[in-house]
Amino acid sequence: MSIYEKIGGEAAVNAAVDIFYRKVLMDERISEFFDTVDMENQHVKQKAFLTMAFGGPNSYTGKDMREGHKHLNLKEEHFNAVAENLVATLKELEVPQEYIDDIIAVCLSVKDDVLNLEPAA
Amino acid sequence: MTAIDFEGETIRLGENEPLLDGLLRAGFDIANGCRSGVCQSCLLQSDSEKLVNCQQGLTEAQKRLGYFLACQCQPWEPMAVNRVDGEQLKINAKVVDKRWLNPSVLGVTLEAALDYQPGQYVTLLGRPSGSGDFLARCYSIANASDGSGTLEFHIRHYADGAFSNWLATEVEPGDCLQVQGPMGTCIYSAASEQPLLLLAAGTGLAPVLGVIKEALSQGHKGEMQLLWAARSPHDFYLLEELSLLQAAAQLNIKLVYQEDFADCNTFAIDSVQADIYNYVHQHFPSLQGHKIYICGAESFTSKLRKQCFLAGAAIQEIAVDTFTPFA
Repeated sequence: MSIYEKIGGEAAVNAAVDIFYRKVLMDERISEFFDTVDMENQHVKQKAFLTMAFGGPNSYTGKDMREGHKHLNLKEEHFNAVAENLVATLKELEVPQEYIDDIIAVCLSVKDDVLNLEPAA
Repeated sequence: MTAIDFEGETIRLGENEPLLDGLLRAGFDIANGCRSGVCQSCLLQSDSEKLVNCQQGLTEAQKRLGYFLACQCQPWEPMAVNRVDGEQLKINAKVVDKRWLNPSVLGVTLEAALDYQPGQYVTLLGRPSGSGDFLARCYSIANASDGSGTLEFHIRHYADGAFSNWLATEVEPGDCLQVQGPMGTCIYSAASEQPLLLLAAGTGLAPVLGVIKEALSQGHKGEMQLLWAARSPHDFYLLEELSLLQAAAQLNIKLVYQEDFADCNTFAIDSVQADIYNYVHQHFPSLQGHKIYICGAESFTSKLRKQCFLAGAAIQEIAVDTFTPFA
């Protein structure tokens, strides 16, 4: 059983996405990246991202991640800020720590793509 | 083999074949991504009542309008399917009334047999004399869908706007325009007890008024608060009609204008000089559980959408209609 199923599937994503997105918008380290995006589209993308991070039906490929973020010139601190907001969201929803660890591991697996780094050899 | 009518062409689906696969196989260019009902790229529309297990994650308004995800849809009965806001038939519409609602807003009523949900918008097409081409502009429908067969519009007049100036100076009752649509998801889709906050700027009143009338006709029970923002108090219009609506219902209306103005006591409706963003911030610090409608120019809608979301409204409960300026 995937974490996605264990924590309640789509309902869990629905519970998490608005909390997570609000935290991201209020985080001065990264909020500027969201100033010009369409919130409704972004909300759908956030849901898809959380679904993936929770191990649910996967709609992202590494290539999508790279293409989608390339123009932003993101740095490690931006990636870490998003990850921190995700952890805070999951804690707020009382997701057990072992699941949070697994979810963050999924996020770390796409870090090179998001930051457009050469894959580690 | 299920027969599907897609934009007038018939395709046949294999057994258990998702609609998306069938359409792609038939050569239609349908955007798609995850194919697992998450990314919403393959959104299509149908009036069929047999949309099962293919609307997950969509807003209540999208569901009511028959939007669904093609990748999740496995029809077992024939159905007709369209692209969302795709190329629709143009129908003829006769101008039955035209009057100035204030010095810069024209009220135009058309007679047209169109199925729509109040709050949606259409494209109006007309050919001003001396212009070879049809001009097309989008306007929101301001009246409830009461079977009268008429469509009302609030049209901001720009002296240098080819379309609005043509409407203002040349078009008369009896003339014909064309209407294409309806489009948009800014419709009444709230739960009956849910509090509504409706935020309109300028002629953004039109879709909001449609939503309010529809809510009233469906017996909406929750509180309704309309904040109508404008630069100057002279920009407001239809105040008598609004005041009648307010008297009849659990509707509270506030006019919020920006510029200093000495005498607003003549208004039939409560008014206040304030910055609309501050006003919303101060008076609606918590919007959890609210259904929000925001209609107006881009700067207004994007700023307030973010503000309402941060004040606790769920994204899916915020309906937005953004006007593209000038016509």
